[in-house]
Amino acid sequence: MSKVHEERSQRIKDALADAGLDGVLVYGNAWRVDYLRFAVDYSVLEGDAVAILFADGDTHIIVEGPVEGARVRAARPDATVTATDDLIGAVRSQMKAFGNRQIAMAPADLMPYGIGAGDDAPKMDDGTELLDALMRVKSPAEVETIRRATDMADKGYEVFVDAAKPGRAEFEVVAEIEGFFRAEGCQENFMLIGSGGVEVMGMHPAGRRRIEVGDLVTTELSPCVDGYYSQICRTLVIGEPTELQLKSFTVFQDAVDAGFAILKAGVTAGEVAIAENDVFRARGLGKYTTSEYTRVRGHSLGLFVDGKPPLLEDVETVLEAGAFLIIHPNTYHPDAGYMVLGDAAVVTEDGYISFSKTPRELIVAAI
Amino acid sequence: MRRGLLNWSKEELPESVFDGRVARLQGAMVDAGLGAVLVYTNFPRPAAVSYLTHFVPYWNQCLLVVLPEGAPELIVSLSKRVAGWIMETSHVGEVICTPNIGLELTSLLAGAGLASNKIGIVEMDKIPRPIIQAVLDADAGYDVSDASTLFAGVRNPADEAEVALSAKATKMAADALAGAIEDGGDPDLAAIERDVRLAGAEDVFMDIAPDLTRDANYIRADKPMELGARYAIRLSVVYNGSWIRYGRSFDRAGGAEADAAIADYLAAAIPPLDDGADLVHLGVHANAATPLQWEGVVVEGCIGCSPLQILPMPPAGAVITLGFSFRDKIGHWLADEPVKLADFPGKRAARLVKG
Repeated sequence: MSKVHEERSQRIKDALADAGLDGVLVYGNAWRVDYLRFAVDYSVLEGDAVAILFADGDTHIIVEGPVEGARVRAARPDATVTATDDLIGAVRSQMKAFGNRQIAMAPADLMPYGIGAGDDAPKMDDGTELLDALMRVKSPAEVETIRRATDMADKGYEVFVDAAKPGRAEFEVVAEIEGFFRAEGCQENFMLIGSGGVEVMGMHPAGRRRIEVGDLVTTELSPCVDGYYSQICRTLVIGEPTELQLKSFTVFQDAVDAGFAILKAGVTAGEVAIAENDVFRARGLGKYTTSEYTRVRGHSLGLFVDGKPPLLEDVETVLEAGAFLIIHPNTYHPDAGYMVLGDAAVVTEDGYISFSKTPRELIVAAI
Repeated sequence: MRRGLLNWSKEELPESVFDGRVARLQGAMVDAGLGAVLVYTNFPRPAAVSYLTHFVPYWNQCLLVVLPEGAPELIVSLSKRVAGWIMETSHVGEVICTPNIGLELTSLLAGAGLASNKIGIVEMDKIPRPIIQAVLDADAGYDVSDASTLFAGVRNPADEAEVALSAKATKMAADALAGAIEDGGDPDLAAIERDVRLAGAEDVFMDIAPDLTRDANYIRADKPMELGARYAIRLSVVYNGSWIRYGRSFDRAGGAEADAAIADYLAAAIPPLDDGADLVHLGVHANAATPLQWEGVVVEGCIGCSPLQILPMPPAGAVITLGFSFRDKIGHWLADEPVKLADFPGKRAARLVKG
């Protein structure tokens, strides 16, 4: 068992005892694998997966099909693994075998309908908040993994800059990044990209557009190391930047600085978002902080790349010491197009720790 | 997330292909007396919605609403800033962006003037409970039922477009494996990953059986690993919504004789599969693999939301992947091979890529 999972297991065990529970049932898939990874240290790749973890460490993992079954048996040889073509039936059968043991389930909003349908369905309380509370605050071993993930993001961005040459298609740039991450043992990456000029309103999955001289090439790069995502957002200009591009970018630099200036345990997610957005409003760019142009001003990171709380002005969630998040006031700028800038950081009692080393500036790709 | 090329090539997948697929589903709906069919999609279970619309949720979850007439409508848990991208890469009528799929769904159904309150839901048991509960709690008194069998009935046989895309995905995998392994050396896994994506794959998963002299289990190739004298690499590749697996074994001491035996076996055993009604042919022709001993086969294909699932009885005309295991005195040999089953009995099944 890895150090990080050893810590997680102990925290879960303590939380179950405090809540008077015997175990927890978690659901996961390759999109939302965070609860599964946290509870049983497994990231399912294909199909759905359900795991039942008891306070004594007894672990049951149920996956779909023999292909995923072989993967999970290799990753968790100590667990009782069921590979089945009837996931729901297998879960219900196992729950029935566990009798009247007190088991909570998470995450409630994604739990497959069939697990709880009908009068004979297993009765489980909602354990989502129990696990959310544990996942929000990162342990020392988790922070060390986050540091390695952030280092991977920095290295990945160097590869990105080298790959983003005039004439290359967006998907070809991403292919270079993925080849690099494969060589580095990085198992996942969330990545969006944008390229072009003032007409570009956002980022998207990689397409066929070819990069041109003068383009702004934006990316949100989120490598995953041992289950933990970090993230870096940077804007690259192909060739010498214009005065307008340089000037436009200063609002993003100042907004990131403003967010970090107030970041510490006890502030709310909303207060960080307001600090970022006030910079835009002071320059007459307030409308570009709305949902017409942008989604969030940052968000939590960890075992899920887009975690709660989001950094939005109306979010009152208090950030705790040990929270891991990114501040990224990414949005459209009317003079330059869509621009991004963001760094991840671990919140501390009196501030934050950011492991990012890539300069927070408009990156220039020489041609 | 899906992080290869997400692009709709209308030359390879004309709108008429999707119109035809949706029309088949709508015909089956009407025959079944359904007022609507709901099809869920997320990153690991995208196949049914991408089959009908080309839409692939690179992230998050979405629900397709198919009514008896007209283009399907898509409810997505994505920012409305990507609605334009969705419309560019998908063949749908309307895109509704919302954080609450259930709420928008019941609103859409209420305004649709359904001829029947019977709602069919593909793979209903696996859909997140809040979505189903919203339908059950609606004042309209909807009668919900599982529509997986109904959908599976229209999902196959594969049309020409799917066969062509599957063949292209297979070639991407075969070329990448062939190009990244020097005789006797370690494979360049980074080059394999990069080459498949540079060829335009939507995504690729890589599994490795690191030591076939010990066991035949594939494991996820997340991290660099030590490979034995004989190992296998399997690539799961998706191109424009069509998924295949392609895998081959490699022996540092050569293995040409085994490769030839497997090629002989595939040539002998696959065509007689015909429409797939009788998989016994895969064992009957085991002698063609001599001197290898035939151990068994796993059959996977697509009939619903999962791109590749076990199919003990694959439907006629389907694109399937056959995962073969052989053995000799030293250990195992693995080979994963995509195949197009014949649409009718008496016609021959065919490998998607020869060699």
